[in-house]
Amino acid sequence: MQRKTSIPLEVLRYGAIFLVLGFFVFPIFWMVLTSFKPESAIMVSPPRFLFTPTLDNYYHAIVDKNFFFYIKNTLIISVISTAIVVFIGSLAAYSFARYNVGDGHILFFILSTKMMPAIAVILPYFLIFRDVGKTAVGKALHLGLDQHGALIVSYVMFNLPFAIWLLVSFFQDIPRSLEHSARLDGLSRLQVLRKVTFPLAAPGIAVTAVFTLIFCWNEFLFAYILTRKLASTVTVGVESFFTLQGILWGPVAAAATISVAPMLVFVLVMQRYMVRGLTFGAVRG
Amino acid sequence: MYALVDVHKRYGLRTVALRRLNLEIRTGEFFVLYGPAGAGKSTILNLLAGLTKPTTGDVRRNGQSIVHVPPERRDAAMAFENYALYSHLSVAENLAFPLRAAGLPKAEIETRVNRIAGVLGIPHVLHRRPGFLSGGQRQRVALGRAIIRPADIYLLDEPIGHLDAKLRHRMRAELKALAVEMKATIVFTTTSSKEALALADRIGILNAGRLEQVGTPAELYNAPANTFVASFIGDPPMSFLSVTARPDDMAAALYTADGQRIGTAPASAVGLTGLQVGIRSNAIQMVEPGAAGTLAGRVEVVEHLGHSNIAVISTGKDELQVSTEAEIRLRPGETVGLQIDPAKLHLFSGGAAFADAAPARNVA
Amino acid sequence: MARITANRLLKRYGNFQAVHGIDFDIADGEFVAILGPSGCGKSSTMRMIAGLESITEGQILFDGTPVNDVRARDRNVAMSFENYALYAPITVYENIAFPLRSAGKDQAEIDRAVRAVAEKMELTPLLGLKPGRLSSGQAQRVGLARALVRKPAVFLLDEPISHLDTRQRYRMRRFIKSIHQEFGHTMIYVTHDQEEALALADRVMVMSDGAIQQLATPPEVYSRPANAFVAGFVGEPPINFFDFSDADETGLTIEGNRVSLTDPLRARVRELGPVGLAAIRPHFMRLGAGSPVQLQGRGFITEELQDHNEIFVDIGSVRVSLIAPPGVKVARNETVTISVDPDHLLLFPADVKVKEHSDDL
Repeated sequence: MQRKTSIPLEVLRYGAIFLVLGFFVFPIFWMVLTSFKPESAIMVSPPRFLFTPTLDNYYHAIVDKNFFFYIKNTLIISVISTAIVVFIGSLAAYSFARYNVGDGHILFFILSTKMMPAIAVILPYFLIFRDVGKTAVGKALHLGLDQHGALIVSYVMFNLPFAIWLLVSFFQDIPRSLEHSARLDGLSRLQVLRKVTFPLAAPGIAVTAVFTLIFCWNEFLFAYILTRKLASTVTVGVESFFTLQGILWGPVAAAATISVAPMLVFVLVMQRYMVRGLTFGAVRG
Repeated sequence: MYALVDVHKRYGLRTVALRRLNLEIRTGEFFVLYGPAGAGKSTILNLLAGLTKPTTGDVRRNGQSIVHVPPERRDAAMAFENYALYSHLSVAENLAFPLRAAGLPKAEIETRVNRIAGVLGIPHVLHRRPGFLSGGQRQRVALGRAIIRPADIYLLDEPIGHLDAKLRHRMRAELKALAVEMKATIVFTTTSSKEALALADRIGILNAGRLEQVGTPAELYNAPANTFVASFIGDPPMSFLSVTARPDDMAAALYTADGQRIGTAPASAVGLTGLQVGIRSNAIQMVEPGAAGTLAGRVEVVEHLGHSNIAVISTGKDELQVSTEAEIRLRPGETVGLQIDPAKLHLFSGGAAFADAAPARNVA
Repeated sequence: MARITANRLLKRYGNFQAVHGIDFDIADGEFVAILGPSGCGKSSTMRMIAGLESITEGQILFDGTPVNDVRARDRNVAMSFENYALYAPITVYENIAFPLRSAGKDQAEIDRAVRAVAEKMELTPLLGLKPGRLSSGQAQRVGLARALVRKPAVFLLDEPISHLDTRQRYRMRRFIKSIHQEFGHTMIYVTHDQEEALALADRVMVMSDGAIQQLATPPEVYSRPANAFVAGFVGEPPINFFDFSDADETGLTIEGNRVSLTDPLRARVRELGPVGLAAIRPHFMRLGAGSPVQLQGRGFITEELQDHNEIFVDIGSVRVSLIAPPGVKVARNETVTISVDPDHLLLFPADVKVKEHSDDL
């Protein structure tokens, strides 16, 4: 038997859903739409929905401005940063969760670094990377200004506290007896981590990776200050369309669409894991 | 043979789990650790498994210290109270896990998994993930994973405590038969007196990190070392009456607070304070009030347990639990007479069994 | 104080019907235990009485007045949960006084009520302590005292004493029963433990699959179960079930054993037809010959529980248990004869799947 509902109530319900949906989806829709508009149709009032679509903006962004270069930089920096964050983060989180390293004080200290506003550290970072880049180690690891290494280090520093904090709760949710049981079955400590703990924490690790990657992909302030040209990321790339002659809205929209696309695909793929991760712990003894 | 020697176990600075505990587990015996929640039962299992180390003291196997042997080299199998099933593996894979870790061939693993699933009545859920099982099924998988491989010692932490009554009853018999067949050394924890008595070759009664008494079920039932053990073994638990001992023509006689003589004791009991007699519910007969040689009591509460009733009867400042036939109707507030079998008294002095070994039974 | 009546009470969650239109009438001051396996609808029923769950169809009446639309906090119902949530920073006294303070009672009245309930619950010496210093038993008593101080019309308890050891279970049972005798509330106690239900309640309401299977006094539920489900759920050790076949005026066949019947059972066989389910409690079977109802079996195992033994025997494909005096044992695979007390042999229709464990859904 179905629940009885009144028609006006249903109308109201769907109306509310569309309103919220529109609020979130419309900017993306408008961005994609603008990317196909000829320049004459962009900044006009009233806004025009019907026009002859053109690929000029994409041509300008990709060929003239070489936007794929920025995509490549972003990809390198984000993926490497995320990999490092997840690797260090899970090991650190595991030891905090299992052995209560530092009795909670170190964990709190790590989290407290997250409370520092980025703007407060950006100048010191700039100076540090400028000097480190001149040393032999700095050169080998590309840690100088306008180099990938500098951004990767910054992003790792900035994401690690949050990642650890997130992962600690995931590891805490895995009953200790699972590891005990595996050890009694004859697995060594490391084998237990590999075969039991990390597979069980996989949803949590996936969630952490997604958050980290999205942060790195969208980050602007560090990228803007620490890079000029060679290591610039998409956000900085889009900014370069804000020229002295004016803002090139069409190419901006095209570039933004290009940069959003991989994230969109990635998040859709990871969604399954994320939902499992966010409801983690519901299925236990 | 396993032994805990002078084991003291502290968690953190203040929580003491075990206090100077000495315990021997003999090869091939079914040993039950029985005590209230938080008494230290699981800690003992963890010590034997090597999952935790004693703060001071030693854990030995056949006389050799194994404190520094890591769990993976102890050859112990354990069933955890919270099941500890791998949620990312199916039931079959969970059961196979210890066998895979031991590197058994695939065909052998499959045979063993199917056999154990049959014994536990779970062959139809082998392909499911633990998240889709009922609590009772999960517990059986956990038990199965522990007993699927040969081990030097099996540590079972309340392995049937969460099953429904019917299944628990059946599994109890199944487990006992299996233990006899395997001739395995088993340490089993429980909070149920009935489970302890039914399964154990020997029982260790644990209370607040101390062993109160270790012995066969019959020893604990017939000669409890103190009032804690006495009140813990048997269902319903033993009840206690405060008594005083006065000289008698032979030795001494025991009197209740309102002057009723209920039994005899050796002369050495005279003058002791804090004397109590322990009486099991089946050692008391209900009679007409006022009959000679009986205690007067007032019915406080009557519990129907189907086949029998348990009446809580107050006499003086004490309360006694009396088993009666289901047909006998009692009302709260009613006055009854109690005839206590003097041969079935247990005498305690200051909480400990009276030293003159079970005198009341012999003299009476 | 209140009398509680349910009229065709029904609860649906989405498409799942948890309670199928049940009727019951609980008298003022009565102690009723709702007993059943998990998922039987007992908790839904209790939450509907408490007002924590909306009623899909039907009615609940307190003293004849429908309360369907009365909010939980206006129903004057007290409920105790398994873990008693005490407010840690304030004393036991203040914890007990809390519901009265929030109801805006004046100081003198609060003091009187708190001291009265504390006296009855043996909490007077603890009034000045903070909850952190109480034992779990004391904390439970404080939790109950706080529930009782409001003088609720109905007192609901949801499995408050599961997972205790044998001795504590007896103590808590004794305590809950004495609360009922002392305060005289209408009490409803939800549990899956048949022993608790029988021990505590004036009447037991056995539920399964969202329906009431039987609502009767403990002796009745035990000795005259309404159906095979009740017979199987109530009683410790659990009742033994057999399929019987070829039943007629001369007798019936259980696992290859032909047994003759007494007159009342013959009448029952006429109702049921040739096949069905026979049930007998472990207390009404003994080793040895001497009854018109005799079964042949093989010994499995003997459990020595000191005051009695429990013996498991395989009869055909059925493993049964029976109670024997201390000292009586069977050896594994020893051939034994079992005598069944024919007065306590119960016969049920064949179509009920009670032999499956409730656990194997």
